[in-house]
Amino acid sequence: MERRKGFTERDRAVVYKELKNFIDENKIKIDENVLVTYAFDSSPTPFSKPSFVILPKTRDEVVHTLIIANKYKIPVTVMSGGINVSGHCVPSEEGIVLDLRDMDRILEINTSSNYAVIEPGVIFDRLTAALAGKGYRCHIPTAPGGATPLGNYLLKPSGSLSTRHLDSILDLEVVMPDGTVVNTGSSQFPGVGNFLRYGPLPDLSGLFCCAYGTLGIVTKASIRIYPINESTKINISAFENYTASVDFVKDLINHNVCEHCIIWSWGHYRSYEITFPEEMKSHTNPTEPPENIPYNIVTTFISGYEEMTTLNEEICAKVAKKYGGRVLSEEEIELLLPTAHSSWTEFYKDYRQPRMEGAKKFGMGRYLAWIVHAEPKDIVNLERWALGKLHDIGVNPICYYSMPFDFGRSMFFRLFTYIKPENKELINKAQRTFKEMYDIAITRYKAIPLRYRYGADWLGSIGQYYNLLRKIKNAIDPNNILNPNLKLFGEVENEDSK
Amino acid sequence: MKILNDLKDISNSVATCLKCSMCTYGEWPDNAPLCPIYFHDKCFTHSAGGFMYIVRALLDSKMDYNKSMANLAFTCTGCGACDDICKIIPFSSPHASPSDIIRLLRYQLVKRNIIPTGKIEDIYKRVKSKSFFRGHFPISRTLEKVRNDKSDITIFAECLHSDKEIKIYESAFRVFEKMGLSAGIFSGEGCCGSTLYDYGFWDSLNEIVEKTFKQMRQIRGGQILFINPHCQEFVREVYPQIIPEYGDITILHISEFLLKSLKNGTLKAKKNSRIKVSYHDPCHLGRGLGIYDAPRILLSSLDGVELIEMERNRGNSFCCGARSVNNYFQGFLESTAWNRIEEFKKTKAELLVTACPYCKEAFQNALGADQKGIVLDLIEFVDSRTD
Repeated sequence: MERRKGFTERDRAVVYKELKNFIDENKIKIDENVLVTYAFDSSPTPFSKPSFVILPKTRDEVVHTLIIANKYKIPVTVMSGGINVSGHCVPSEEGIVLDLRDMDRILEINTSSNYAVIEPGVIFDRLTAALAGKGYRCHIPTAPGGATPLGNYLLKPSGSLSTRHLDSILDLEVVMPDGTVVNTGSSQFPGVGNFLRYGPLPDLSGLFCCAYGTLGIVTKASIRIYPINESTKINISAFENYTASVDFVKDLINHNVCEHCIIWSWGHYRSYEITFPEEMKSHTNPTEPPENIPYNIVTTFISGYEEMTTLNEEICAKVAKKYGGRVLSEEEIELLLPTAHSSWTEFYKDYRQPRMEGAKKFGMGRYLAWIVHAEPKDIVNLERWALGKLHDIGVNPICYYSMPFDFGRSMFFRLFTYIKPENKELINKAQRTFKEMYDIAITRYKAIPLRYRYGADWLGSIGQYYNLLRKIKNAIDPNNILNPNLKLFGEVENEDSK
Repeated sequence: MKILNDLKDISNSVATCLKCSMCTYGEWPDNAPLCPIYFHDKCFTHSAGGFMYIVRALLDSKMDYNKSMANLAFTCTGCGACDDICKIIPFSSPHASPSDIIRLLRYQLVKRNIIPTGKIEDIYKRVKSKSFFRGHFPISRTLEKVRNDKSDITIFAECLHSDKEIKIYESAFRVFEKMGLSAGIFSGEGCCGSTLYDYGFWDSLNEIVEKTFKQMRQIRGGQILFINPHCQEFVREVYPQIIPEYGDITILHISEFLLKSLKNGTLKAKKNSRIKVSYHDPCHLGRGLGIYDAPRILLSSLDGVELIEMERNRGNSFCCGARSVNNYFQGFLESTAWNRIEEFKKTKAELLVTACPYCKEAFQNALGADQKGIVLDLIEFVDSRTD
């Protein structure tokens, strides 16, 4: 794949002039301060300053940007809301950032067929408010309310509905590197709406999920939405080990008791509380919680008609007992996890991301995460090993949450920590450890990474899958202009090039 | 929080910014646009988070201080909406809020003589020549009756600097006369320090605060009332950080005092015609001092007044833009004021009442001579409707 090398001031001026022919000058940022603030995020991805940050308002502006970028072989990195903890949107040096936050229209809320059509810049807080007004809800991830549904759903996130559904994407409108526009779902047929993901031909929506803007730029999407039921309840049960928690959630899913479950480690649910920083000083081992602090809490979301939810709540208590757990009383909830509980109520009952109060734990330090999927039988062995690996390098706190995906066929497991930004040595150590852990998790625990991260070592091990993907990339983006800084394509030798 | 002086002090705080841009809008489900610069030109850099990333880049030597940075830093209105929302940045020690960090950035810019042209350059010159500390207006000329030593009440009026403000103070003294109270005016060296603090002129800060405080302590008996919430917030929040012995001085906003007076009958509302009024929450009175109710109850207690809320009110109020002292974006000041004026016009109210001289001036400047009469300070309005 050939790409432009070097960029003179003259080149930059020529490109700028050409961009201005199609895009409002005020939307093309060349101010040093703007460029620098888009050059890095909270991930370890190296600082890389773009030449332009463009904030388009329309799809046509995206089309023209890509045509010009392709002509001059300039790398383009796209972002929808800009929250970055994984380095997916750190641009290429001298490239273009396409920040789509100003394409923020909710185009349709279809309550007859349960889908909404949105632009990439729509944030969760706006969408959930609009949906709530119509008695509807959408899949809510653990990302903040300022995140965008489109950016999040394209990464196949964990969240409020992932127990039953793998992702929320139905139909996409994608601008390709040559400026052509493709519709991937039912709307590929002229005049047909955006209600269906799957048609008579291969599922092209999937091609752009977890592609991190390397294959096309999504400018519109239809997403699944769900009516709010008559009654909703949250069961909060406590367990003294992770295996029991996993057995509990599997049992509930297999008996159609719940809509969604999340397993919270004690370090995680306690981190919502103000006393946590003090508590963690004397409890550094993640497998040994303080006295009277349950090892895991499982939140189970139940919805439906009142009679159903009342009955299912009773069933939750019965099943918890079966696996050695117990339902927490209101007094215990107030004592153990008042802030977490209030956040969960917002998450499950108001169908929106928790307020900032629940997010202040991010102030504890640099957030570093490790995410895998594995079969339930494997994930239970992985848990202790993963906690131990982090504990061995002296990281504290160590938190995780875990949830069943797709009716429990796999378990999602996100391990994370917060490290004081000044402690660069420990941050580097943790990052190296996470990288090593992915390799071991794959071979020993048959666990796979949920997302690609900059510099992932496992990329070379996925053989023909990766080769096919490269061929697709070559065909779609021969100049490799789309997000090359992610090094998803271009760093690893493929079969053809050997 | 202690006053900071080095960017290194907040390196941990800025590094926790998630780039979520939630610092720019209010509570769900309204999600009201609150950050004036972000919603003027929606780009991450133009948010509190953007400033956190600028500071991170400075700390990591990824960029140098520059004029454009100063232009942006001084365009921020300092409305504090981001401080109310973001709980992540202030979480770690030294618990600095986004606004604290933006002020610190301004201080670093001023220290390096990287100053935007216009108002800030003017302040810079006056600070250098010491004329900034000598006050701006011959108060004694217009308020001759006023004496400090035997008064029941003392008005804190150090930043009385324009004809428009004088009218507000004159109204205040008329209201006190109606109540049979003698009022004094406290006006020492010219500025309480809030302007210097907001705009990063911190090298002169301790000196002026100590001097002012020494004089404040000599005020005997009477309560100290503030008309300008900027000064009041500064005195309440920052004086104790600079002066360890601060603590025994009681200060009140005039709206609180007038409400109390109306309730206890010292001040009497007069029979009046019906009028629809909308109230604009000044950022430093509302978010800064938490005073939302007193002005509203005061207005509603006056005869014939119907108070109509604007869509964004109280903690969700949108800034008038007055304290932005630079045009990083063309036409920013006017468009910010107009953003709020349009919202006011939607209420169909006849008067826009506020409780901060800066807000009044910003709205009147935007409206121009023809329409400026629709904006009044709370005290002027109370004066016109009491006996």
